Amino acid sequence: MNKLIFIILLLAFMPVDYSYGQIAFERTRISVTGHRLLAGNTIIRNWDAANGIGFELSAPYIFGNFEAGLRYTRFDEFTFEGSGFHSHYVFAGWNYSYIAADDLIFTSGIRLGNNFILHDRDKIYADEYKFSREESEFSYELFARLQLEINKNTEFFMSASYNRTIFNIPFAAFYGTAGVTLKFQTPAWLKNFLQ
Amino acid sequence: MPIVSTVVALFIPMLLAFDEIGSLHAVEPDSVNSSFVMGVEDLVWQTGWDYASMDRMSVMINSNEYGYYGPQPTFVLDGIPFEPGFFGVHYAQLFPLSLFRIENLETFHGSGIQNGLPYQAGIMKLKSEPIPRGISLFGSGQLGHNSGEPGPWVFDPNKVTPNVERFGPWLDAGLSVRFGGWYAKGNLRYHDYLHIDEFIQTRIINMRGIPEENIWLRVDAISTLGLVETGFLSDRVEIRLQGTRSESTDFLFFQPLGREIPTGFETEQYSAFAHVRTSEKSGIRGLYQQRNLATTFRSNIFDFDIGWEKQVHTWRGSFYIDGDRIGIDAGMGNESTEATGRQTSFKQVTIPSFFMQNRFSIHRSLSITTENIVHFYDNNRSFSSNSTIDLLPVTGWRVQITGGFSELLPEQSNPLETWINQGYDLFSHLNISSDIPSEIENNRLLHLALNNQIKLHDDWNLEMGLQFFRHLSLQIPFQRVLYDLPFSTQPGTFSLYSGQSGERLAATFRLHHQTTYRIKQTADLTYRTTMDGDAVYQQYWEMTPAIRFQYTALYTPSPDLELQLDVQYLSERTWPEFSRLDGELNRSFYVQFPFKYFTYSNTLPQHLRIDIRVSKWLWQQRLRVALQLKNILNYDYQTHPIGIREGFGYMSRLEIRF
Repeated sequence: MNKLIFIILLLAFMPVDYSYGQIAFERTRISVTGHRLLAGNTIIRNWDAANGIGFELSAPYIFGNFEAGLRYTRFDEFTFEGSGFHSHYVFAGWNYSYIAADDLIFTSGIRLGNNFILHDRDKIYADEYKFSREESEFSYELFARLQLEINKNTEFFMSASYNRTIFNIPFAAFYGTAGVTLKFQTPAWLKNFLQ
Repeated sequence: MPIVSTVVALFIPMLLAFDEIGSLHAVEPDSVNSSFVMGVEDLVWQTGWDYASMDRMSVMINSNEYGYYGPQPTFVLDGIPFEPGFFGVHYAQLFPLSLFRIENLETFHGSGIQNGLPYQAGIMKLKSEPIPRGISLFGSGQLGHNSGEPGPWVFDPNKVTPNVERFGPWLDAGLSVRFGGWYAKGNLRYHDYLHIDEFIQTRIINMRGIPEENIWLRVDAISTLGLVETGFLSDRVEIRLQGTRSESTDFLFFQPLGREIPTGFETEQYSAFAHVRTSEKSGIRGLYQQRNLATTFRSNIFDFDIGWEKQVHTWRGSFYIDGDRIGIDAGMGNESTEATGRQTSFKQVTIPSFFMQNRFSIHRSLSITTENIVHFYDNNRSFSSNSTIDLLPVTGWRVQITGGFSELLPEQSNPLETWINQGYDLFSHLNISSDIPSEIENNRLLHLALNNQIKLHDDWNLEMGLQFFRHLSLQIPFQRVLYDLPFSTQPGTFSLYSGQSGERLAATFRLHHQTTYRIKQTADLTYRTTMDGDAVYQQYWEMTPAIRFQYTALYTPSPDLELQLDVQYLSERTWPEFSRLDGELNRSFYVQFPFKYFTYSNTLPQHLRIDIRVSKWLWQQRLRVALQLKNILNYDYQTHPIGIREGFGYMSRLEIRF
């Protein structure tokens, strides 16, 4: 958690290029992502993560960008029969973007959310103590992303992120992500909703 | 110490000679940032009071004058008093409004009179959001929990842990109608709270279990509350008719027992309130109220049933004049209480009261306010009298000097013990041996306060206060509990130490800074110490922190986004009642888990808590999302020796309004 505070403070005091994304919710970015778990702590010794997919929505807001999204990953069990699970990370976050070159944008940010997991079956101890298949826990993520502008409305990006779900034994993982972003003028109804 | 006593002794007769003695209460009116009120502790945070909680949902309050077990503050919503708890424990879910719908909160300390309502141990005045014209609806859902879920490790018998505390779903909904001056509104609240903390699970689950039948009953607390209100509001007339009703299954911390009792609650309250302005500067107020509070049986291994039923009928009337030079608020009231249930003989306690508040504005920079309250019961009476000198020596500097004497009847300060004395057969049912004097003295308190408010700069305000309390007679309930592994505690002998005396001193500093609407920050530092007193008196106040520091910074970068940082530091506290648990072991309950052991301590170490809160409006202020990250340093702290251990957690809420 100390790391989280450090990163928040770091982001808060970072110099920001305000030329990017100053007008609240003026443009919307929709991204479809694919990701792979690159490394993790003890949890990857017992569960094997498959490649996953995700969806992100982002729009400029005051300074930086507001974003929300969902990332799905399937974890198959190495041990503990029936313990495979589906992970759904639902998040909202903030990021800053820096124009690195004409077509290249560097973005870093933080996401706060919940990791909803659904096990393949309930775990029952001694035929009477039943744990629900559904469980959720707070999860935060730090990420850095390189965005290559293909044309005015399309970007390709790659990112690396560090995610930590605060289970009793915390679940920490590094993900590599690639995706395509569509950018467009925010429709009036969506802008109206976001404001 | 003798010097202070001498100063007080000289000062009070001097005031008496001038007029009536009086005391002042510190006044802390403030608007509430309702988007960030997630629970009852968020309200208490803003009051300058201390709280202790077993479960984060309920609190015992030390309003500075009487400690956690003394008389508790009065709660008022839109001019109508309410009682959100039992035996000095207040429950968030029994507040008759959704906490995020509070527009304004004012706290007054000590004793005094507020809008025709006398109070004895502080008052928390809540004002709900104005009702919009036409038809409006709102709904909200709130949930959260502490970190530490087992996650996938639930499948590993060597690493599995219990599910942790879960708050929610908390569902609130309301409908209101307003046409012209007439309005009607209804609120419905539903609260669910899963009570699973490793530290207290042994006690809770063991209490709810029936081992011989291998049945382990639910350990959550569920509450539903409904409110209906109609009335008429105009410049001249304010009429409110209100009814509230609630049912809960919960756990009640019962101090004479030294732990919780699984209990149900049923509350009903019907109120009629009228305020008529007879002129621009005068008016009359009236209130009639019937309140029924009852505990119901909730299955537990001991078959404990508090069996408490209390019916209270109250009426009160007053008139006021709020002139430029003279202000008067005077009236009378009557409160009649019956406690049935385990009452062995019928007894009704009827306490009439008379009260008067006078303000004399001698000069535009000098005013004197006196407040006098008298209560009667049988051949006994209590008299409270406070005076405040309000002085503006120069522009930007305000001085308030307050002195007073507060007295409470035992029926007001120690109602449980007086009911026990009058035949309420509860302690024998709960197997509590007790030592309660047959004659309980009145609570008597002298107090003196000096408060300075200085405007340092356009954006900066400094407030410094010094308060001195001399308890001439304080009745202190005391339960030195015994250690017990399955249930944490067993009751020892419950005693009421009557006539305890001593002196306390408090110093407060508050720095407030506001730049435009974007940034608002407040730092509060309070230091309190016991200067002298009987041994039990000194022990009693060790339960409250000597030092409390709070800092709040609110940043509003745009009208639809708010960010808030809260910091709180509390110094070490010691609860002498739990000294026999000190160093003893507690153990997690579930047999399939690797046991976890904890060591009890009756000393709560100092702690630092930092919260971050974010709130965002959407859809043109129809939707609001609020998130609270609580205790981000993950400090493992408690506010009660056998209460819940705090850790990192979060709370989130979604509101919708039409």
